[in-house]
Order: sequence, then structure tokens, then C-alpha cells
Amino acid sequence: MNRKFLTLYRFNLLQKLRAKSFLISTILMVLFLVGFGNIERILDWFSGDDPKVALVSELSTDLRPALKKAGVTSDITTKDYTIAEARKAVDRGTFDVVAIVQDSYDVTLVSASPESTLQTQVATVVQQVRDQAVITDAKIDPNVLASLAKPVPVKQELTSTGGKSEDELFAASALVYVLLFLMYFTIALYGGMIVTEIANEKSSRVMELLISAASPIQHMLAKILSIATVSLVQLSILVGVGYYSARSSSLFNQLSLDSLSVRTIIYLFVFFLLGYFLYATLLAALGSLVSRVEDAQQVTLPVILLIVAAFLISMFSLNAPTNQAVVVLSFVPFFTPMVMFLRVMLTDVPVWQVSISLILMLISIVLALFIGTKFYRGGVLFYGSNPLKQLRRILSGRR
Amino acid sequence: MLEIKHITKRFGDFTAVDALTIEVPRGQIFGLLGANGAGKTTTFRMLLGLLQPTEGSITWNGERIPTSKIGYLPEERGLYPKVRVDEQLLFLAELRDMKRKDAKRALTEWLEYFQIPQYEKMRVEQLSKGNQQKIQLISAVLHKPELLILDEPFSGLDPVNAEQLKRAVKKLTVDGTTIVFSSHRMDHVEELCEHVAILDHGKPVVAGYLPDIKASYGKTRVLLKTDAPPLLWDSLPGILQVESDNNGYVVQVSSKETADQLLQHIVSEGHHVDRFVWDQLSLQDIFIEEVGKRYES
Repeated sequence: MNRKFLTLYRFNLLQKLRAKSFLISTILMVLFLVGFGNIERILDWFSGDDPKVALVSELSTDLRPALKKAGVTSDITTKDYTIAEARKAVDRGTFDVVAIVQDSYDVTLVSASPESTLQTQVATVVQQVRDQAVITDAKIDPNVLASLAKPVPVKQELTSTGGKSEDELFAASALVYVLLFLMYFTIALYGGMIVTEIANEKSSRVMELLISAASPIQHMLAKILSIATVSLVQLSILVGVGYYSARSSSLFNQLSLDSLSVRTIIYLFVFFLLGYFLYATLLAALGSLVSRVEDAQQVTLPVILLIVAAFLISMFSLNAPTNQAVVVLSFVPFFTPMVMFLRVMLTDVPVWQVSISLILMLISIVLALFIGTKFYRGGVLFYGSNPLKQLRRILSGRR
Repeated sequence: MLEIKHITKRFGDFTAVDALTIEVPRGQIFGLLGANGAGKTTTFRMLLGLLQPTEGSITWNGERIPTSKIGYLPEERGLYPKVRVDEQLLFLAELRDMKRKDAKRALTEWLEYFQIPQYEKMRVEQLSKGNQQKIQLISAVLHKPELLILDEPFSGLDPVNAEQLKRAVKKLTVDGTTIVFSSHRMDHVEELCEHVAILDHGKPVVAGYLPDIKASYGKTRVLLKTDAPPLLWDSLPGILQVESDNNGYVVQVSSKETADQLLQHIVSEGHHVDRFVWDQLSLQDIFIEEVGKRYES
């Protein structure tokens, strides 16, 4: 049993890893990730030169040093334009932006297209100048102002040790997003791969040789595990590259991965793997019902819909992890990997609940394997085009 | 020795194979004949253990057949089109419990036997149909099976390749391999098989040792080439049927005596006989008689 399984596993794995498609898809995904991780830098690259800015100011203070401090990188030329002249200057291309500041502190920005960054910077600076003038005019004691500006300190005391801090909650929901994406991605991509491979072996009729030499369950497990290995290899490459390329981006820093505990990682791994196996087994079983690659869509669609349902449920649950319906749904094996993981991350879930959901998942994986081998035995020898007819045939004991 | 005892396979109300019994001693060849849908492939799948017989039993030397001792050439050719020849053949041999090292040696031998060692590292889809068929046969015999199942091994092959494959099959029986095969080419079956069964809608209409079957028909035939017109002799007593073809006439006669009388009659009438062969019924005749009869009724 073991030797045949290993032979099948090794052959499947090597064929996949050596295939050009594996190399190409990995390279493409790495490129995508590197691009996505450096999106800020790339956007910067394309934004071109700093706009030429002219400043028309009726105020006595020179705004330029303050503007520089507020982050304006362009050179600022002072001019004495009216609005009409400013328009002309912009039209002619002498300046990209003309900022007109009146002594009433009204500001007009003249430019060909909206300049939202500059607008905020100018507004901040002018507001500071105005505030300063108002304070001086009203003769307000600077100390009074300082005590007004001071925020009220709030200290949070948590009574239960399992409670989550704000940071933890944020990191958890970010992680849940990551997991949901990973699960969807993996199951849709690699699950689809399982169906395609099985359909391929059926249409090239190798299947008859394979299952006359090894049992359907060995074949099915070897297929699922070899593709799981391929997916883990590919995902580790992607996670590694993604981590290094995204490390510096601000988006990444918000994830605060430092708050990840060992417990979280274990949960992530367990739910992810069990989820993969459940869906993969289901897809393998259904894959044995089709005989051509073109028909694979017909059987993958219902499973993909299940994943989408799980995804939507978890999106809703993010805002209401304690909702009674969410609690109930987290025990449904198809939804457990996403919904139960989310509950564990965001709330306190008793250990017995987690255990029960895991046991239910294991039972349904075994069940799916059992049904799968039954399908397999009947399905792989029958070459019809209609999977439903096929299913009826197997269920009624006719092959 | 392969013993098939009274196997029956039913799918719901449909009976695919109905009470087939046959014994094939080691190193001999058993031919399974039948029109499309007669139950040949179902029988093979039962031999392979892919299907369980509804009734009856199949044993190999009194036991269940271990998968490592069976070789199988499916009717629809089955190999990975995009995988290299050596990779998939070694994989399939390992799957039938052969050590990789031994499989490698056997593979080289077989490729040399068919004079195609240059294809070892090529992908199957790059080969011609005849060569793919040879690779398919190698995949069935590489692990040195004791029982080899060949489903329509000669279909779609040109005469040269068919001859080469036939030689390989004979070579295997000399080495002691027992072979079960199906074909709709009666001449191949007649040439190779000691044992035959003719299936018709799942029912074995004829089954057993080929010479016994032929003898049991009693009827014999004469292959005749003569310048005497049939009118002169076709109403002699004991002449059952006369057909003519490019080589002359095929005359079914009731006994050897009738054949002798036929020859004497033609010669005594002053005609020439270019060819006179007294023979038993051919398998083709038996097949048409048995299966054809059922279509008429």
C-alpha cells in the first residue's frame, strides 16, 4: 500500500514541479507580488517631475518656508498675478499651479487638473498663519491653549485574560482577510488543478492502467497530497517573496505581524490544511465524474460557490463574530476553516467548540474520501459527457 | 492456470456477461471474440479486478490474481501524452511492484527488441501511432506479468507493425506468459489462440479449446480452384453451400467422403483442378454461423 502510494505521489509531484506551467505561473505570481509590494515606489516613478508652483500672497508672512516644512517639494516662485493672469500663466504652461492667498485667508488654486495634495498642504499652512493671527489679536495666553489642546488620557483595564486588545483585534481581522484570500486562492487554483489532472488522466485513458494497478483511494490521496505539496512549495515562495518585497510598504506595517502568537499560527495552519483537504477531496470525487477537461467547469462551479458562500459569511461575521448564526455556521464543515478561524481570532471560543468543529471537519473529510473512492471506482471507467447521469449511474449501482 | 468459472455481470437489468466459463493453461493464449458491446471489455475489467462479478469466480492458480502479476493493454490506448516514454513506463512498472533498476533493464531490452531505443527520452505525443502502440505494449509487459490481457491489440496497425506485435506475443508465451486477448480479426485469433470464446450479447455461444470446437462442428470445407462450372458439381449429395471468391470456391461439405467424391467427380468429367484443400471450418465461419444465426432469429 505504502510503496504504491509513494510511487504515485512521487510521479505526480515530479511531473507537476518539472512542468513549464509551474515555473511560469510561479514567476508570474512573484512578479505580481513584487510589483504589488512596491506599488508606492512604482507610482512615484510614474508621477514625473514636481509641478511648477507660483505663489501670490497678500499676507505679510512669507509662506514659503512653512510650505516647504509641510512637504511641498516643488520650487515656489512668488508672483503678483490677478486670477485672470494666473489662468493665463497656467494655460501658457509657465506654471502648473498658481496659489492665490488673499488677506482674508481665502485661497484659490489655479491649475489644469485637481492638485489635492498641494491643496491640503496649502490649507494647513494658511490655517496655521490665520490661527496665530487670531490668537495674537485676542491676546490668549499660550499656556491656556496648550492645556486645551492636550488629549484626555484613557487607560484600558481588561478583566479577562483571554480578551483581545485593540491591536490584537486589528491584526486578527487583517490576518483573517489574508487567510480568506489564501484559502480562496488555493482552493480555486489547486483544486481546479486536481479536477483537470483527473479529467486528463481519464481522457488519455491512463486511468484504467492506474486503477488496475493501485486502488482508487491510493490514487486519489496521492493526487491530493502531491498537489498540496506543490501548493505549499509555491505558496512558501510567494509568502517569502511577498514578505521581503512588502516589508517596507505602509500597508504591510498596518498588519502588525509582530502581534502574531504561536497559537494563531497553529490555528491558521490547521484550519487552512483541513479546509484544503476537505475541498480537494470533494473536487477529486467530482473530478472523477467528468471525462474531458472541457467539462471540468461543470463540477468545479458548485464547489467554488461553496467557497464563495464561506467567504461572504465570514465577511459578514467580521463585524459580528458573536452573532448566533455565525456561531452555528462555524460548525458547518464547509465553513469551519474560515468562520471558526475568524471566531477564534476575534472572540473567546471555548476549547470544546473548536474541538468539535475540528472533529466534524475530520469526519467529513473521511466521508468525502469514502464517497470519493466510490465515485472514483465507478466514475473513472465511464466516459459519458454528463456528470449528473454519471452520478445517477453510480448511485444506482450501475456502472 | 487461469480459471474463469461461470462469471456473470449484471448492471441493473442489463446482463453484460452471462455465465462465461473457460480455463487457460499457463503459456497458452485465449481469444475472446464478439461484436461491439458483446461484453469483452467487461470481462477484462472483471479479470483486472476493476469490476466485481455478480456471480461466479476468477482464479489464478487457485487464488485471486495479484495486480503485480497482470499486464493490461486497454482497447483505448492510455498513456500520458506529455510525459517522456521512459518516465511513464518506469512509473507504471513500479506501480506493479517492480524495482526501478530491474524495470530500467527490461525497458532497454524491449526498446531494442522493437528497434526503437531512440524514443526512450521522447514524449509519447511525438511518436507515430504504430510506435505509441509498441510503447503501450511495453507498458503492459515490462513488469513481466504472468497473465497478460490485450484488448484489441492489433486494431489500427499496419501489417508490418501488426506482424511485429504478433511476434512479440508469441515470444511471451514461449516465456510462459498466459495471454487473454480480444480481437475482431478472426485470422489473428485463429493464428495465435488455442482457446477461444465467442460472446454474443454477453452469452458465450462457443467456448473452449479451438481444435475441439472445430471438430465438434463436424462440417468441413474445401477450398477449390477449378475450371469446372459449379453447375456441374454443386448439386452432388453432401454439398451444403458454395461461395466463390477471387481464389475460387469455398465449398462446405458434410464429410471427408463428400470431399473425395467432389474431387473425383470433377476430374472424371475432364476438368482441371488447380487447387484442392480440405479444411475444417474457419473461425470466421463459426463466428458468422453462431452470431449471424442469432441476428436472423
